Amino acid sequence: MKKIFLFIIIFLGSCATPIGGAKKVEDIKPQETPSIESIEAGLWMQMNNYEEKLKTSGSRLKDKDLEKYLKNILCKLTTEYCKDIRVYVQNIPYFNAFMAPNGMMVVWTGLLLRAQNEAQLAAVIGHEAGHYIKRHSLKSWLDAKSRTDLMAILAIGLSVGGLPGAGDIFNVTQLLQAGFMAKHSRDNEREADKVGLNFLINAEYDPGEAPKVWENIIKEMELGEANKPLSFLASHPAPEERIENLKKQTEEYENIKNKKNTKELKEKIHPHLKKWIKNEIRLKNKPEQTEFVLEKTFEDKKNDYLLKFYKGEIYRLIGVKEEENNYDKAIDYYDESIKAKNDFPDVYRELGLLQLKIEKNEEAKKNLKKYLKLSKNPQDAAIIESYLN
Amino acid sequence: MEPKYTIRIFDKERPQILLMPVDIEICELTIAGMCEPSASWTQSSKENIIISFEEILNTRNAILKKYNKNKQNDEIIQLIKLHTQIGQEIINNEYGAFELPTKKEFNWTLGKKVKLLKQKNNSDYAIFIFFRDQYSSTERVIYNIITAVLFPGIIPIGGSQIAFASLVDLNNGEITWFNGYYRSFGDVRDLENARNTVNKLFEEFPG
Amino acid sequence: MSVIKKIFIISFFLILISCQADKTYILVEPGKVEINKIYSVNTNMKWSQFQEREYNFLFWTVDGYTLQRIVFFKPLEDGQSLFDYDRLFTKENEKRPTFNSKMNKFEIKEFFESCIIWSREFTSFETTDIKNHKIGETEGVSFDIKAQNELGLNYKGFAVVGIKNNKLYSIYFIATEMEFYDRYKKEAKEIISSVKIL
Repeated sequence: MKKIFLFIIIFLGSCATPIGGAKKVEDIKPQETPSIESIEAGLWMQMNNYEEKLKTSGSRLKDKDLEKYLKNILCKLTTEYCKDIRVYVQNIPYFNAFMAPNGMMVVWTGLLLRAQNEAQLAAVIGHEAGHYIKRHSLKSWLDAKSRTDLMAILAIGLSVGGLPGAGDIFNVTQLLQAGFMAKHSRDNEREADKVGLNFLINAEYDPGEAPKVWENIIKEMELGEANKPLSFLASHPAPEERIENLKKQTEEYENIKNKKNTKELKEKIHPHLKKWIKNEIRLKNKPEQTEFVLEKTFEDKKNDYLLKFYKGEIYRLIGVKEEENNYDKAIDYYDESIKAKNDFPDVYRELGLLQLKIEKNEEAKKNLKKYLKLSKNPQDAAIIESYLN
Repeated sequence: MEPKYTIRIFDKERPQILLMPVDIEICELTIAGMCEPSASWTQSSKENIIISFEEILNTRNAILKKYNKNKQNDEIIQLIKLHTQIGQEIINNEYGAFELPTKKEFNWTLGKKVKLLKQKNNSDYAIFIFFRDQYSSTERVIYNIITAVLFPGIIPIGGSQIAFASLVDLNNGEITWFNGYYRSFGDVRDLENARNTVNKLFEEFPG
Repeated sequence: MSVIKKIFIISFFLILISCQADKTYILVEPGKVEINKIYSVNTNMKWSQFQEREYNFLFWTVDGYTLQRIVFFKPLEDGQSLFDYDRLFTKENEKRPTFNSKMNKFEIKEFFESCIIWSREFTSFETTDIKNHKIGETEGVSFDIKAQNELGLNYKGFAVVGIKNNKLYSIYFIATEMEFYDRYKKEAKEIISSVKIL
């Protein structure tokens, strides 16, 4: 009796939806929009609603200039699809970028902090555009739908046999709002890498920078805590494999240029650096990991004083902990920063305040006075004065 | 849930009621519980809700005005967000478990800055409507029937509505009427049913 | 999930839990008020006071927690945090900012800021304009607050923090920039200026 029941249900199920429903999805054409009756239109509508909210949400970074810069990179990569894609920056201190099926691209500030140059940024942006052009989100949705429908049907069958089935409410917007890209299959990732690499090389960027993005991420992960899944890993599987594929794919091209463009990127992110670094340090990752990130941000020798200053901040904020001599480490870094550039006010302040804590009062007062002199009437002058008396 | 109100009739002969952008999303529940968003349903539902609401306004001798997004500015955007936040506090206070002793009467206000909305859109009141709805696909209906037969007592998820509406006086920012509900039937995809649903939402609406 | 949906789910959940007699608001009348034997303050208006037993703090509001509030924290000792409840992911709980009684004036402002950011109530939170401030007889600092929640709604406020007998005392006022901050800032300033640590 149970077997017949199961057959009926599978029969019903197979009539309703074909398995592997994503076979016949073609590339989206420039300026194409789906017809209102289609499933794709539904996905677009949902993402359009999300995008409307993102525009004025608290998590969006308020810097139209920076967003325009990213959009320009996109348009350098693909003039055809330039009009169809909009780029937003979200204030989230993790490495991630994702593309929604309606043409909305989101980049997190953690990625902007880590990009060493424009070529690396372009590699990520081009990759995401690839997902859009190849309609990967729609494919994933159709795949997931056909698979779960069948699973649910089988679940009834299983329930009859005594094992309860379960169905989760699954919603594209929810996934995206959690900040995770809709998870793409390995094949789709490889396809997007290929499209992105093609864009990169045609726009005359150095294709060697594409695998470097992933090499940096791997190195950062290794310095961090074990078993810590960075958010991008959920949607960007197997970075090692991608490095391999990208290098192999690059070999198929001739006449490769090597534009990197560091200057404009650094200029555009400069006004936000202090805040982003503070948020990065606040994450309380292992200091070696944060130091690695900062080293990539401040690669230019002329910024060495900033690198040393922020490294000092890392250890100052860890503070007193068991046998670690974090305060000494911090002071060493502050000293190195002063050696690299002796008129940066902030370092004298932090150094002086830290010295007060370990009761090196003479030197502390000297440094605090120097801070007051260098910064010419800072807002916190009254409080510093109260420490000098 | 019962509607809350501070006025029973409008203080003007033919008031202009500004319809703020209707926040609505209608989706189809697939058999496994995936909420597949439907653009065409959402579009037609939106139109049905607006038509039904306009009919209600006609019976109260009021005029519907559509919101002009081009006349929006940062302050107005903050006002709209403030309204959403106040809506949450109203639900917490009027319909929830924890009542504020400082809010025994229904007196909520967005403040005088609503005059911006009044000026830019030339209206006397503003109405905000939220709507969330899920409908079962035919497969799921079958699934539900089978489940109900095999496992009586399990309530299948599907076909539920959450709705909430408020009326704001644009002269002083006061919320003069508020209502919300949650129920498991009421189809807005076709006009007849939409009328019934909207009438239920706009119980005790002034006029 | 969408913010609207979150709002509804939270609200309907609140509706469902009804018989929680020890978790209601009480009315605070104008005059001199003692708060949990920790602080004494003066107020010229009525407030709704809410104290959640498991939490470190107590707050006053008129229209609702998310519209305006004055929050009084229990004094913190070394190793403690402003928000001691556990978040969903244990890794996040390990990253909780902790107080150290040797912190200087800048660091206690930094600590306050870090705790609020850790609680994830706001998507952006800044403190500016730090000044010397006495909470009663206790040396401390005051500073302004600017924040935004996930919805994109702007908030403004100010806080005072100070260390007495190696314990951290913190009080802050915050309200929506639109309407509620201007309406309540004068009263909030008077209240916070009147605070004495018992």
